[in-house]
Amino acid sequence: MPCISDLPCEIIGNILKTLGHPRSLLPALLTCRRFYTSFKESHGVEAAICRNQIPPALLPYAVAVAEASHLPPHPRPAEPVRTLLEELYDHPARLAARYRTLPLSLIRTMNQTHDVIGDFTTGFARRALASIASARSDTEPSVERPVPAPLLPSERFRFCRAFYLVELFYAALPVPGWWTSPKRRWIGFGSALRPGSMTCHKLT
Amino acid sequence: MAADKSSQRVTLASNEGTHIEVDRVVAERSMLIKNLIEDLGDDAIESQPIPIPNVNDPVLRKVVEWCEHHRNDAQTSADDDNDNRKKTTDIDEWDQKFMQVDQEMLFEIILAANYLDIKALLDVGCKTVANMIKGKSPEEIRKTFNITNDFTPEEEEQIRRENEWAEDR
Repeated sequence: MPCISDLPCEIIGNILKTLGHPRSLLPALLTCRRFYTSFKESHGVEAAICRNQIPPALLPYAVAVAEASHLPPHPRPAEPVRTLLEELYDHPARLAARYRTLPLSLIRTMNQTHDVIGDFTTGFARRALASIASARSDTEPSVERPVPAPLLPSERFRFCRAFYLVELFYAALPVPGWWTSPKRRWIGFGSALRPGSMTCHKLT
Repeated sequence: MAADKSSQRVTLASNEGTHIEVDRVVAERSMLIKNLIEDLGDDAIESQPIPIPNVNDPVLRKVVEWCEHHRNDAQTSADDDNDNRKKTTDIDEWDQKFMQVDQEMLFEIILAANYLDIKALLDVGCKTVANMIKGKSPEEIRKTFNITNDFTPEEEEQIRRENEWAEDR
């Protein structure tokens, strides 16, 4: 009668790789010695969990941001930035494949950045859709205020890609005084972009 | 002369000696069986059953059921594994129902998929177990799988320190 502890280390390692999010890893490792040993003996569990977190279509952007943050420091020469951007737009699959060669510390940072962008996307989209719904019900009182629906995968991809490009811009061309932590940067950026605080100018 | 591959039938023998007859293309979802057939030749498999010594009859039938359903799926390669994998939580609806079995059968299927080298079935099994772990505390995971905590408090602390990057994300 097999139980989970009877599975070979390699298979427990594969199970850990498909946990989906890094926050599920530590509780699993603390379960028993067998899980922890399997984690230690299996190659690339952390990298696989982080990799699974980022949708394939966004991976080239995530790698570009990670690599841009490790380009030669300020004053940054233009050539490596140009090469990185060309790689992103002309050979995204090749750039995504470089994920496998990134050091674990960079992969962890990359995953944290993705989490921040994901949270920011969700929050920004929710506020934007609520603002649109509110504006519509103000101008058309007979229209019932719709409940904002979650983003479709294609919409979510476009939102995330846009935020990755901003992140890439500031990683590749750092601005003095710009916050170094992605979380702080995005919180600041988010408050600046809050839909309610934006001013619309009528074209004349 | 051997029959056309698409219409050929092969017989699998479980470790209990029971026989299960399946289409060759179904059996060849298993890389182990596929390679065995290639090595032995078509004539050999027509005259005698293929022994599957590590798998009992109920588990072998369950594995065959999965292979029947996925008979037309493309075989996954190592590159697919790395580049085109679905999100970890993505399990086909039919596969989710297929995996609604008791834990003993679930682990037997995983072990059989590993032995028979059926990568897609192994992936589904691993994802199913991973989904049972996600979002749970260590104690809840132990309770789910009937595991005893064999760590000392010092060891637990060390593991926490080593993996603090993954905590509170």
